[in-house]
Amino acid sequence: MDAVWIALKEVCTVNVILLALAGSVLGMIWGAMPGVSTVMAMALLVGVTAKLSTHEAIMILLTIMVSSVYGGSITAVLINIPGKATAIPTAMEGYPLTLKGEGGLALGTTIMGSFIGNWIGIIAVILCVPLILAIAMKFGSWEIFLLAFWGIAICGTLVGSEKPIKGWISGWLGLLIATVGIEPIHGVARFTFDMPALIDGIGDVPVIIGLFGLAEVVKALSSPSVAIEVKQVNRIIPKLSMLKEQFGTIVRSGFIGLIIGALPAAGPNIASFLSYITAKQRAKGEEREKFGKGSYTGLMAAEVADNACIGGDLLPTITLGIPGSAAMAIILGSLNLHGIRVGPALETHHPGLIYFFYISLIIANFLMYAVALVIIKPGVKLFTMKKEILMPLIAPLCAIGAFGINQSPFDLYVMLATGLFGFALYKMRYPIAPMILGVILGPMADENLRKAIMIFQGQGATILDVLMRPVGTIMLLIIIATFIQGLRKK
Amino acid sequence: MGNIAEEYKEKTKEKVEETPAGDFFMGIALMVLSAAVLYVAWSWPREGSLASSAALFPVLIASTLFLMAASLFATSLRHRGLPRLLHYLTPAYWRGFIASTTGRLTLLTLSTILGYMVILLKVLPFEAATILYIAGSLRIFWKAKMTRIIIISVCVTAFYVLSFRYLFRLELPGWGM
Repeated sequence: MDAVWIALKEVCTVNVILLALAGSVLGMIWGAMPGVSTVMAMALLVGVTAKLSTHEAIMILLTIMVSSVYGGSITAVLINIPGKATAIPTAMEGYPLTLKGEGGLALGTTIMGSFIGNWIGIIAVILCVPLILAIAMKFGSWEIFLLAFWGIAICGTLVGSEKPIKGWISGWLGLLIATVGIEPIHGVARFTFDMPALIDGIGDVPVIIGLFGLAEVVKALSSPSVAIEVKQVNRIIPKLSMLKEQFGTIVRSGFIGLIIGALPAAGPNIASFLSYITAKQRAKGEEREKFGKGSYTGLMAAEVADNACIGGDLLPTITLGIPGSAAMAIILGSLNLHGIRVGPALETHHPGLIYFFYISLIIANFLMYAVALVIIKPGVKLFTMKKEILMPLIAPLCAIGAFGINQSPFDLYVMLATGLFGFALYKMRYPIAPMILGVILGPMADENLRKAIMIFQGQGATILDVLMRPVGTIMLLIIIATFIQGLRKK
Repeated sequence: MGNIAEEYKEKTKEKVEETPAGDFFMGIALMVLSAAVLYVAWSWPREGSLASSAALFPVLIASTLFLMAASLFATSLRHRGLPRLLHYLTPAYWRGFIASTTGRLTLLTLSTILGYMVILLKVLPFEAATILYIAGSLRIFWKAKMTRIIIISVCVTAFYVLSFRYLFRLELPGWGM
């Protein structure tokens, strides 16, 4: 109970409450603007969080995340432009409803779906974290290395859906970036080339801002503009009877969202697609006919899964230190800035922090619901702001965020270089998320691999002894299966 | 799930592109990079075997990256990656690229961003550099009236300075950094 009390005390400060509100409004607006993704919104602010307390940083990033995940659905429903891949099914069902004059109700369904989805995620996190922590406490260095390695591999396979090898290459490049600097075990300077700026390695934050911020700005400005036509918004709040009808869809989609969210970086887009297709396959008769022409069941399925994913994402992030999504990788990056290493011992080293995550998610969910209802109608003009106006305003934010952490021009140039590299990778169809995961998980994988080998050598263990560790061997088999599955896709 | 993605792509007329030229280029670049990493890592001091040395992880990553790059390279060869890459290097392609809307926008975007971060922020204070950059970019991409552009540039820069320098107490980039 002491830990809960500590967390509650941290929440009840003026700064935290104000930042939660600011994060919700900002997240909603950014998420709704076409071209500004959840991760971009978070990446732009991650540098600023260095100047906040740990609790303030967690609160603002989580509220931005929760609100912007929903925000993407607004433009998907109103103007048929999904702000992110997760909102594609929402656009497919929501926009036809808008054309029929039911845009308000479609938006209301998405708000309700997101709210319920988030609650499913929150409850699952609260129930499952102690369980996973109990298992994770038994992990040795070998298992932690395998877990980090699998995280990057599965992320590459799932995100690089066209060609998994490109996803893996992206992750491996991230791992290479993470090896730069003085290594912690023997103190050897790796790839520093006698440059003092490289001694501490390449910071996570400039890389995150470059890949998710600047690269997106270049991407958006270098493509021709699309004409946007905004439709009228009528009644927003859906009837209770409609929610009762959707009960089965809600439960099923919440479960899908949770499971997919718990996979590293497999996140919301797979969850919303999978949930949508499941809903479509299970629909019968007249309801099935509505799919593609404006189905509330389809909308609800996509939104619940999309948001339940946030809870799923948080599970491996706070228990194992393996980010469940690119957005969670940014939260881990911000925690690194505060010297917090997330993992099974988090609650021991930082009492109350896990409970603070729970409470933040609950607050973020309520604020998302309230902010969405308040700002949708007056905010429609703002959400449809042209990218030609918005993007030039974002580039200075990238510079501020990258420079602000260490006041180092080197970080600014790292951000610029990774931004341009990220744009080149996008042009060649490489996914970016595995690279961020590589940068974040690289030091963990490196350190634990060598610790494990030193322990095995000290014990005089043979390969057979290593294979006799059941958890490690199961994970090794899963890694091999992940690569085989990826290669078969090719 | 695949059907839905296809359905959406059809709706948005978006096609999945193959990138054999890019794969050819990246295949070679990554093979060179991983060979260089292996060479450098091998030269680091180590006590005892490679297994517990600082070079282990980079060697492991670089060697597997080399294999992936080789596979990418081989695939690109099958898809005529080299001739396509050579096509991208011809003056005729570049003339066409610069004349196209996407090409022009890409070059303008890259030059404004590079100009801002490499030149303006080095020679001017943050405020002046940012007003100039925002005004210039809005003029190029938005093409609105200059008075509107100047008002927006000044207001946004003032907002950034007030919130980040004074509220969050962050040092801003700019002349003298």
